[in-house]
Amino acid sequence: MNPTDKEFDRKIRQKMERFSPGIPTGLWEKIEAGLDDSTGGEKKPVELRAKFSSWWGAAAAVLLVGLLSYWLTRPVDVIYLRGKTVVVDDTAVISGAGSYERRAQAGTPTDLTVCADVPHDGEMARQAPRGNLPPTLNVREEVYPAKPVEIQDSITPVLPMDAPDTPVSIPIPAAVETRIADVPDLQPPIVSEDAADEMLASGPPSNPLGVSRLLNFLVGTLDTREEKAVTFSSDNEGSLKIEFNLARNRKRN
Amino acid sequence: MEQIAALDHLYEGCKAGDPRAQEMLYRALASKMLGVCMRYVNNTAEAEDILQTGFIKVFTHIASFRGEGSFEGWVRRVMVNTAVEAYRKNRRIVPATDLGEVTDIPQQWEVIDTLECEDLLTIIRALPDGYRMVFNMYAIEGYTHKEIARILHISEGTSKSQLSRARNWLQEKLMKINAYESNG
Repeated sequence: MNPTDKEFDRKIRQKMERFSPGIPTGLWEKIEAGLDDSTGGEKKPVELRAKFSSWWGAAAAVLLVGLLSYWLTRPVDVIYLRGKTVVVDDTAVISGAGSYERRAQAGTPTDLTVCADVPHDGEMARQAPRGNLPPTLNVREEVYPAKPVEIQDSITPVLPMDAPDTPVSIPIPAAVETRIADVPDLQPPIVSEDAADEMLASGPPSNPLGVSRLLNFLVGTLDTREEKAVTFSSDNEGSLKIEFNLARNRKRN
Repeated sequence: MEQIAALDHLYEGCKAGDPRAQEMLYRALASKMLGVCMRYVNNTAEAEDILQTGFIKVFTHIASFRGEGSFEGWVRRVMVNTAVEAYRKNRRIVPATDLGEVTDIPQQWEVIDTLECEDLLTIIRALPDGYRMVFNMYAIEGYTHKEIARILHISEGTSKSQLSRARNWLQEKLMKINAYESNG
């Protein structure tokens, strides 16, 4: 480029740098509208989506925790053996017409006599169980003083009670006695004290699925940030612990 | 200096997203930037569109200004880039015009001093699009041929030849004006 061209360019540049045309009215309003569109149409929905996904993730985690907690702590049908139960065996000694008494073995301080109210006549025969199912009975348990009698079966659990002075016999229809003898024995869920102690000491078995790990994984997939909104942990006793990171939410707001 | 300090203060406000600072920056630079945009296109309405788009870019990408050079220079570059993008969109529609061979023109540029800015702008805007882009970027904005070639997606040789032809065409026009004023 020769010096003439440089001079030519410089003169035009100096001339045009002083050029300042008038600004058309309404142009700033257009720019403001363009700014609103560019920020409102692109950035805000992203933040809203992030918030919605975070809230949905937290809600899903809480719902899952609730369902799992209910499932793990749901009531289980367990029959506990109480001290007084209806126990009838085939070797009970019947004394008197329409009554029976049962007396514990000699030397035990317990006398237990059971009186059952059952339908009379042939109704009992129609309700007789098929197989091992017991018939429907309204059983009322009472304790009566009984006179000592010989008993041949010793498998029935015996409760420590004060020995009565005089035995009392309760009249029971003869037909009932046969049916009561058909009722199967209730077996206690805990057969020995050693076994019961062992079960209590061992605690619940560890969950092979790892509920806390599963929940943390679920939260991690929904919330990819380093600080999670909700974290889960479990202790040795199997309790599920939930920790909410509230400080993180405050910082974000 | 005071204006530079005021622009730096407005820059901080715009960076913080202050609408008042944005409007004040617009009021301070809009006229000068509209003059820049008008050199790159041959009608005022298109220049105003470029100015509008350019200011939106300035406000939305203001964080990308690293403080290298003046803030006004950065805004000016944003306007030029916006004008170049508009040129790229319309380049296939408007065919390039061949200005013919370069000839030696007598060196009398005093006529430029006597011309009004609007008249000189009218002559520059009469250049074919490609020549006008190269002339504006090289002679007025100070881009190098290498930068122009990269921005306009042309070779450096093309940039140099278009600049030479644009200069020759402008000088020829100015000579005619000078001769008309001298005779009249």
